[in-house]
Amino acid sequence: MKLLKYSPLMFFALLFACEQVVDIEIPEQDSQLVLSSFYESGDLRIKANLTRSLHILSPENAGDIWDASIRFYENEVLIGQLEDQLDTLYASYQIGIDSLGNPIYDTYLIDIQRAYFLDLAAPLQTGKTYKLLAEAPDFKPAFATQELLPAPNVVSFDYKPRAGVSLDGGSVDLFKLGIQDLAGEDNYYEIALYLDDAYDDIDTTRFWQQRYLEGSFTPGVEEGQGGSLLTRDDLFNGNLYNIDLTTWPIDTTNRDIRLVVKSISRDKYLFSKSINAYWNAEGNPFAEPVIVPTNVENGLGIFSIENSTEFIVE
Amino acid sequence: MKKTVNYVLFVFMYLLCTQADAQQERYTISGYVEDAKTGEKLIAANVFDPEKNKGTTTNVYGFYSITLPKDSVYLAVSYVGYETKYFRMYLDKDISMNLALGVGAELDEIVVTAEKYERVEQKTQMSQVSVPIKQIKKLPALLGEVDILKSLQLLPGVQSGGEGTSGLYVRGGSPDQNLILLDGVPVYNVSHLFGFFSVFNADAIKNVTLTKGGFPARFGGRLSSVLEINMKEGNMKEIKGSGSIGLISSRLTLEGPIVKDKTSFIISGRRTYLDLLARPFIKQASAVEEDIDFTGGYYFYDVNAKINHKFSEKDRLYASVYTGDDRFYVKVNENYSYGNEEYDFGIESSLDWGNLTSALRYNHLWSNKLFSNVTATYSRYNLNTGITASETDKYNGEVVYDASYGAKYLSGIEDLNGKIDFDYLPNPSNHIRFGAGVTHHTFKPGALNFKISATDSSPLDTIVGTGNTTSMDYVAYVEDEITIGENFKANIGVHGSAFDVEDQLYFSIQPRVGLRYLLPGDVAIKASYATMTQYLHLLTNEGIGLPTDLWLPSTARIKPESSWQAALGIAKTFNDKFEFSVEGYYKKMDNLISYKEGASFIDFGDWQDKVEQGSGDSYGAEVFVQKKKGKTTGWVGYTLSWTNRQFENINSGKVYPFKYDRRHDISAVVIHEFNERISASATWVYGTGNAITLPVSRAEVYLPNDYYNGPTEIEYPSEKNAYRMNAYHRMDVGVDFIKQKKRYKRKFTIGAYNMYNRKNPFFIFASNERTYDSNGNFTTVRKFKQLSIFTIIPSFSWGFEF
Repeated sequence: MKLLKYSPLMFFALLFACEQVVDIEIPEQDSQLVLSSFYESGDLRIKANLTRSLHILSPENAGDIWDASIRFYENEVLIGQLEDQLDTLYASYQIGIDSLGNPIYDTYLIDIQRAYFLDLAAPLQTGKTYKLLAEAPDFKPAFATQELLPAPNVVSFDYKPRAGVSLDGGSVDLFKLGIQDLAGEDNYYEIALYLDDAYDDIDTTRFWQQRYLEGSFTPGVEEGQGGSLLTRDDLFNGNLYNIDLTTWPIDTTNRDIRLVVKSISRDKYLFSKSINAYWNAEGNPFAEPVIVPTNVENGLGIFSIENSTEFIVE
Repeated sequence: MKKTVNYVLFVFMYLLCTQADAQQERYTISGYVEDAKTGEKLIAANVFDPEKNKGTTTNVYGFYSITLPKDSVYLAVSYVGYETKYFRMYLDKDISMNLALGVGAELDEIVVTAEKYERVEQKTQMSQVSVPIKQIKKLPALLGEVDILKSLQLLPGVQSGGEGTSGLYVRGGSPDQNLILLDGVPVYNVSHLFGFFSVFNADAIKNVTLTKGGFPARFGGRLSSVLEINMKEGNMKEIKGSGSIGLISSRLTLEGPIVKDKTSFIISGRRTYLDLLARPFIKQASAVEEDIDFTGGYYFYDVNAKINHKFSEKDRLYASVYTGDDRFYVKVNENYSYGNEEYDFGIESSLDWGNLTSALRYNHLWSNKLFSNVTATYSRYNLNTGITASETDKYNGEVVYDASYGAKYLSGIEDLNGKIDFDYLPNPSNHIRFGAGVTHHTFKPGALNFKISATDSSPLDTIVGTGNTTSMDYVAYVEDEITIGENFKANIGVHGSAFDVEDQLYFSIQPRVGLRYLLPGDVAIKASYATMTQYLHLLTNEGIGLPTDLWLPSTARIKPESSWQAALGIAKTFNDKFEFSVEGYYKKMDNLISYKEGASFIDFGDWQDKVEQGSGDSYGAEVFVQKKKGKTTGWVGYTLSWTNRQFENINSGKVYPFKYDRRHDISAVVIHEFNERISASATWVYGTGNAITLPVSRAEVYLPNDYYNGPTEIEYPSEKNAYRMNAYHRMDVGVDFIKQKKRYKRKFTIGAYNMYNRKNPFFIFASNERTYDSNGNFTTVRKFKQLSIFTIIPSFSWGFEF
């Protein structure tokens, strides 16, 4: 009986004795250039950001690299060098009406982006291969290559406010899309939904905010970065692919809706999918570790060229 | 179809070959081999005529049949741990005879000690180990809890997962690839307490056999191993009991005859009392807040029960049940009054999971050469977790606000199975087994039920998740254990299966071959080839045995897993004491499943979207030296192995080491009996550290639409599983003190887990640490750390037997 009497104490003493912490050494890693560049068909300039990678335990800040040279090639022919520039984005909103009945706007600064830019004489062309090459002191030259793919053939589009039902029974807005896939090749698609921010910037270009899309009712649809959806044609190669997408009800008062279907490379598909998985896994000790892939040789990051078909609901 | 015909012809040709000497006048001796004291049937006991060099072994029901020419017969019957019995007779008619082994057996015999015919080199089967349950019970155990699965982790080719867990990783396979049969019924979740203990109560177990390769055709449905666990049948002679009180649990077993030598029973139960021990502490902690009442706890229990009835010498019935559950619960109540206001809030949460298996088996002896067993089984594994909360506000005694919230998650698997198995022993050169079965599976992949109601709002009652899926699983097999001449033995068979799910029908024909050739000097060379198909998949988190593990069927999208394994080895017994074997193997696995990168069991939605299918392989060599007899027994095992995986969308499609790829794995087990009162045991294990993925660099990447947030920091891990944790090694020791009291035998066991206090890695995590200078300013430094959960843990238990 003495044993029984003392067994609780012994047990809890054992529990407290369980935890031990030991330092682990991680080998040094060579710092690499990190290139980020996204081009959408029709754009008249190339933008790129360049940072560097650091050892996981390094106390330094990565920061941008501004003494680099970044060159842009089309089919291995130099188009030009990207220059370090500031890109300023303003927005304005109506604050009233003057005595003549004209709207009065207030303007504010949304963002100043410093990046490398190259203005193009004409948009990039479908079927051509483009390369970004970044060089900076103390780093191996890093480069990435992408081809501008044909725009997706979206044969049908329909938007129905509050026509869908979410998993918890609430009503949602429904988008119905039909994509005719090109046979005989691996195609990857990204679908993104944007809402007009209801403000016009001073250049009268719209400022679009991305909205989360849900596609769990359609087989083969996966979540991508920033609320976009991804799909690949292994389930529907060469056939018509009908997708039902939903989003929380949109208040369309003074707001336009823009749905963009993009042809993307496998590199961008894997990158976007893994970035989403990376965020989902953050802080979850039970999640499988995520390796965010790169298409940058001798470096990290992503270079993506996308061709899109878009629909605007006004 | 052509393949099937070929296999059948192949088997038929072998049968013809082995019938060459069948023209002589022959008679059959048949019956059961049993323990003389208890009447328990002995599985895989040897019945052998050393003069004619012919023999057989008992099947899982203890039945044997040996057909010999009309002549003088010198028959020997042996079983590990029992005295061998020899007897001579003149065989001129068929004889039915039950053979009892052990002290006090009243047979006309000569007791000898050299059992040549049960040596490892005599067996056709390779890659198979039986560990006597008596030996398992003597091994040191974590917190004194004897654990069958952890004992098997000490064998070569079998690895453990995380520290202290009971999962088996056999030849590069994952735990879901082990067919674990309790009295022939598959057990789906074999762990208690998040994997730290297995569900099998050693007091109720008679026999444990693990097959790692060269699978006989009668087994199928899993890729990597077959673990047969047979419950005791119950003492046919007298009432017996045993029990123990340990640090975290107590056990009690009762067995005995209902009708002597005709009907027996056994019932065995175990329950932990962590919750009972913790209750006073929780109550004390709860008393600090006078408005709050808090209770909570965790326990598990299991119960094994079995009845065995002998209708006649030809007909027997076995009914067995196992049930076990884990339950974790928390309950909080908050109640207070302030002036005219009264507030009441309650929350209850629970997590329950458990297995139920039941089997009804009927043995019938059609003739002295043909034995059959008909089995009907039911099994289920369920996980129920739920949370309910309620809140009531009263003002002047009137309810002004009332709300309740409930969420319940249910998942599991349920099986109904029927099968028939035959043993046909036409002559000593052939032991033919054939049979067929059908299983109806119901998969419950997880449904989440929400219920919300509140004053002034619409109630919600909805179910989220995937509905049940059913499938039919059909199997048929035939195999023959063939002896050709003095030195050559073979086990040749074919296992066919079909799986019908969601209008999708999968077929599989799986050939199995095991060969043994005895070289001069009694050195056996063995080879085997087996293909396996697995229609069930386990969605699990690698490393810990969580109850959220989910069994799911192959579907039109998710294909069945398949493998083939080839093995080559030699075996020999030295000095009648040491069994030595070396085996090399290669195993290829296809359509394995794994969570996609970043996916987690916590996610809801279609499970098929969360997994990837890929391939893997495992190859290596195993050395095993075992001493089964004498005062000092034990074994040493060494495994050198490589295990890889490859999935299209994991690790950029590149091959990577499996998490439990372990280059070197060593285990040493020693049990020594000093005298009848004291025995001691020690085990030592060493294993290369588990493969892990660690972030090695970080970078800032600009993403589209990063207007407000700036660049995103991403940690870049190494290639998948490119790093290794520190090597794992540990020594456990235990000593039994046994004393025969007037009415019972008392056993006091003390032991220690991780005797030399090795800080073995459990997992590695990143941690930010602040360092301060003399001005109180701090800098944050990031470090990786290793968590070790079990340092030295002493244990004790007190047991009795009567």
